[in-house]
Amino acid sequence: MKHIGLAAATACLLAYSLPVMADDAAGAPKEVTGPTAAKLMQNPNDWVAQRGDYANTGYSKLDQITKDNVKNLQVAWTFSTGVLRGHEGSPLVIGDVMYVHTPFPNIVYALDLNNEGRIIWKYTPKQDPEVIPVMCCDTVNRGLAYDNGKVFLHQADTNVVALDAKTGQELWKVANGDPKKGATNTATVLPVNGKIIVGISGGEFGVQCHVTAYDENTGKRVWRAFSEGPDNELLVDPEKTTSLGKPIGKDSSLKTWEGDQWKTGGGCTWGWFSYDPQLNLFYYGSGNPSTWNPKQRPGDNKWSMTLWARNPDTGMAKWVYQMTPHDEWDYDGINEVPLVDQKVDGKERKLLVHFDRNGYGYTLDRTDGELLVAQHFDPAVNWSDYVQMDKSKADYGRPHVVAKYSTEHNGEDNNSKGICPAALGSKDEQPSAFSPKTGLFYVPTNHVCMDYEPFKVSYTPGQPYVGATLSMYPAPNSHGGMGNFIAWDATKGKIAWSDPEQFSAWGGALATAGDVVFYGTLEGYLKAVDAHSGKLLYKFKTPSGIIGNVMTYVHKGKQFVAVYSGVGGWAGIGLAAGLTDPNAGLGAVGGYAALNNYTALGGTLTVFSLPNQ
Amino acid sequence: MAHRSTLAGILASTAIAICLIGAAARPGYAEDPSKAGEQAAAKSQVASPTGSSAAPENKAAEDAQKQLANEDPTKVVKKADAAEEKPSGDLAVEMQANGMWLDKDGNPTPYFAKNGEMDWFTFSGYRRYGANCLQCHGPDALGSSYAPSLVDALKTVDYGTFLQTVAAGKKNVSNSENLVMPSFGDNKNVQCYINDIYVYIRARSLGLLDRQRPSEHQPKPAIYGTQETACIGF
Repeated sequence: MKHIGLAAATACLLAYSLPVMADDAAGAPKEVTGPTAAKLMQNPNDWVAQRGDYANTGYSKLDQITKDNVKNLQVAWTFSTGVLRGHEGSPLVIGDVMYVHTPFPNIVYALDLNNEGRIIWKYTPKQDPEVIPVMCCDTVNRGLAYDNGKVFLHQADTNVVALDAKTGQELWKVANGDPKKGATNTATVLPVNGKIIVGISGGEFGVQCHVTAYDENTGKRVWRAFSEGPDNELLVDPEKTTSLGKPIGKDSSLKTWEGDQWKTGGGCTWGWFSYDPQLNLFYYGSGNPSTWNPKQRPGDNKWSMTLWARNPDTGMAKWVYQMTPHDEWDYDGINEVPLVDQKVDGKERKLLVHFDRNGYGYTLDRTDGELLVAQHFDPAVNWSDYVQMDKSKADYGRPHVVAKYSTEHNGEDNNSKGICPAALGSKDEQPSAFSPKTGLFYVPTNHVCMDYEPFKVSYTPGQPYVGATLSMYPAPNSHGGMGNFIAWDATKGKIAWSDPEQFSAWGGALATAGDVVFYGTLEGYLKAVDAHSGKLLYKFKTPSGIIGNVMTYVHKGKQFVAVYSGVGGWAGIGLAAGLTDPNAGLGAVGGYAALNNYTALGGTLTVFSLPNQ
Repeated sequence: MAHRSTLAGILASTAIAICLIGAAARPGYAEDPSKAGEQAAAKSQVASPTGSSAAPENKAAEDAQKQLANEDPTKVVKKADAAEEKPSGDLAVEMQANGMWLDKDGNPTPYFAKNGEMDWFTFSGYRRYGANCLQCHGPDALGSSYAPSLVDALKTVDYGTFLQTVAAGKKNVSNSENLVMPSFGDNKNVQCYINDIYVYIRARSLGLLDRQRPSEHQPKPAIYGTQETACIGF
């Protein structure tokens, strides 16, 4: 196995890696077919994609569990994953089978729902543990994807694997990057039009990041599109690809970097992918430019920190919108981009909504990337006071940066204090949910600020390329906690209600037709709140802190709700320490206590249901 | 001295020694400690308009810069005042020209100045820790859900083992754990500041520094700046 790994890594150096076939190397992989994801998504009894559907709304039409009976919820069964590290993402359910994944070593279990979760098959990849320390912020994985009879796993070491959903047999495997140069993976993949779209991590290691499409049946690469570099590597058309309604022009990325810094430019793609079948476009955000020291990379650093709309068949970009030009705070732009149809100013629009790390909740028209709304979704945000919405202004679409909080303005070796949000953003990867019944988004957020001090660093392949030191603390002059769970009206850019949380709300949300919204907390609570008011209706303490996403399904006519617990991820960095408390001397309350006073490591799946009548 | 030669062996074996700033005190410094101290102290007065400014503005400054380049950064230039009252964790006995304090065994250690300022290495180490170590070992070296607290670790890990671990990495992979520390042997952002990082963590471990940025600190010694530039390349 080691030999195969090496071969794959070498092939990767040659820029075009060949998939390793499970069958005879000369032959095509075994043909496996089944119902498509697109078809299964129509059936709310299944949970066939990480966020439920292509639109990434995290919404379920199931309504057996309602805001009136959710108080009776109880644990139906549990399953230990056998892995201690941070558990992000959620299981999938297709028919009578549940597919469970783990952080590194990325084990996959198929559980028989007809037989009390008996293990049908288990797949354990062989991965070099050397990949572990290259993964910034824990060895999390945001889950499996399904299409056409196959389960897709994107491992930590960037190997993309297709498994036979029935047997767990490996059908093909291909290396998407080189961990020795800092490229790793934590994200799920998007199966669409017979391809799977995959991203990559490594923004803290100076990787030139990209999205890549592989043939779903063979693992053969179809196209690759980088976040920064020459036009032919970006897969953009200088005349037809637009930004805020105008063609981006020739060398749109190269012009915004000094020399060849784009080659170590980051812009990683470790977030979520959504897809609109009518427009045949998929959407995602690219991450922070490398390094974290802004002085060292002059220019707008395009197209890091950018929302992208691309054609999944060709990879060609339809439009782009850079949210945070020349990032100075590590406001990694990778958060999910749910797609909804709502009325804005009385007019029905095809929308894309995005809660960025930078604290702005954006609403755009997803057909052409027109910017409709950009408002703070956490009142603490202070690094920028507004986004220019006047189309006649030269800075249209750009955030207006407050000089006091600009680490570029304050310069190297200068400690810029009191910046909100902190580098982990007003929200990180933990996805929001949307209910078409209320028209509201439900967003788990961070309420944390920071001091940020950039300085010079040198680049070594495969080594951290950070160049700043930070200290983080709960947002001052607020409720003392480090998170909020909010409801957001994306058509107006306004908070509808907000529930304070002691720790960052790091679990992904689920909204249901029963008018219940579920999410998990770092202390380990599964919480159910009223979709209209945010009122707490039910909570249960799971075995460990929750950074996974809540999902729901129906088996044998009964609705279940499930979530991984298993604390870790970037949130786990603060597990032992807690965050520093700027007001410690002023008798601040215990909200600043370390998370390890509340929970310990360990991966468990907990499944809930209503009691039998 | 025996300890130092062990250290040299470790450094050679891991091939990282080239750009250590003020790597453990140079053998032979102690021929006549008192005298050496006096001489260097005098010198450092001449050469310490403290600023790290790279471009000298006049000839005098240029000369000072040249002189600086020839100066030995590890020469002991100052002794801790035995009569001074200090926190019990402060083990510093003497300071090198580059601003690094040593304990009685010649290992790098933090130092509290009379005016309450911490030494330059503790501050510099705080910053470099934040960029290179915090992602796993947590804020203020307190550990995370996947890497141990270094505040605790340094209570038992000696300087030599620390250098070796950072240079070579460490693995603890089993059925229940997957803990892997990478090798930082060829990472200049770490190796050029390895003593700074050690001193910072030691300050935390000895209880000399609370969970905070050591904002009150001594200025960067000029000779440190010269060495830093030579090591990291800009």
